[in-house]
Amino acid sequence: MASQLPPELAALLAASGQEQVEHAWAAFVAHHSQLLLHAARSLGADYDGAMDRYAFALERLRDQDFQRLRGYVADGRTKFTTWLVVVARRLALDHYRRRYGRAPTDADQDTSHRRAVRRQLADSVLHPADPAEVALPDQISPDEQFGATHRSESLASALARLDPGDRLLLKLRFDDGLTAREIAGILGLPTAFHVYRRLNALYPTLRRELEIRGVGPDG
Amino acid sequence: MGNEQAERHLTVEQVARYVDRTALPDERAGTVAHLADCAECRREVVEVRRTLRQSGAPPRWWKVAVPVAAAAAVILLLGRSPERRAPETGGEYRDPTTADSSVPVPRAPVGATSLPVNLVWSSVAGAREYRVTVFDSEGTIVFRAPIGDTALTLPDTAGLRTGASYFWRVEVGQGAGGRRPPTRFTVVEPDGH
Repeated sequence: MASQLPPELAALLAASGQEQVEHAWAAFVAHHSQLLLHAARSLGADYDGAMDRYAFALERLRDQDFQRLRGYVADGRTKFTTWLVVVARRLALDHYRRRYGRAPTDADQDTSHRRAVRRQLADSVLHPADPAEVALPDQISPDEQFGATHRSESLASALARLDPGDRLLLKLRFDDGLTAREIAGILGLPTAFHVYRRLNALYPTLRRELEIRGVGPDG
Repeated sequence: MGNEQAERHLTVEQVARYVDRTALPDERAGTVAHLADCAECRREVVEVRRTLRQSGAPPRWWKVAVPVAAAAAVILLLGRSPERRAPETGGEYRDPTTADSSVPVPRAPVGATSLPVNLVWSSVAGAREYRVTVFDSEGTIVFRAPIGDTALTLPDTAGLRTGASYFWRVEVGQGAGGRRPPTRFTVVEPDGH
């Protein structure tokens, strides 16, 4: 299903002559500056850093006769504003990595944190409680770490057997620490209540998997 | 929990279509499967959604000057800091009528704000009263009231907590007309931390 380019984008890509191009570019920036600013700010709220990332993203979008913007395909399913936010955020991420050598939330979390969140999921499965009241722990003791290793490995094996959608739900909740409301929005569930209901439905399944592997409520 | 650092990540289009829920079933299934095992792409999806939600209103505390490289300078003024203009509850402040919209647009707060929280929104032609609703992050209503102006200072009875995020919505009358998705704000210490 084909669709038309947004007017400000179509005008920019069709512009010829420096004056016309600059005018069209100014109009495009004015139209989308909020999105671009928020995308830059999503990597850090410091004003100067965000403005640097914003300026960098604008420069990259202009590069080579707006080559990146010409990459947008109006297929009727890919909204331009969302597409632009993804592109802008990736450019801002590039800038951040160049400056600091890593992304602001790189995936090299220390293992103690990973064990902690895994243990917290295990507790939820083996000792059912209201998922809304389960808090994410900051740390666990060395003694608890040792005792949780087998349980953690068994849980990983059990999780791998889940449907991707259920595994994604658990990752968003226990690895990424999102609220139920935000998870509902990402997964397309109507309300946070539906997130809790799915979590509650998953716990018995995981519990059975852990019991098969010899892990029970007492560890 | 599996391979958390997949070698190949989602494309820009896959992320955009997943966020907008316009992906075809096969593509969506593949995207979900990838997200279940890729923390980086999950983070991207989360941040893109947050950015789209937050950009629904001007950044309240930013005043941005945007010089266009190698071209005429374009000055953009954003972040009108409407809180400083918002009166106490029951004041006479009123936005110019937004003739081209029948749904009030939240102006502030968006993002971080400190107590007391001042809500400001655009007016709607012909509207005599608005209904403001504030939710906590779990969807529970913490405040709801009718108001005849386009600004409101949330009372202490709303029980807003520093460090917590809330969502708010404003509708014309009793909400029989259209409405926009809730706008999110987070209560922070007065110095912004």
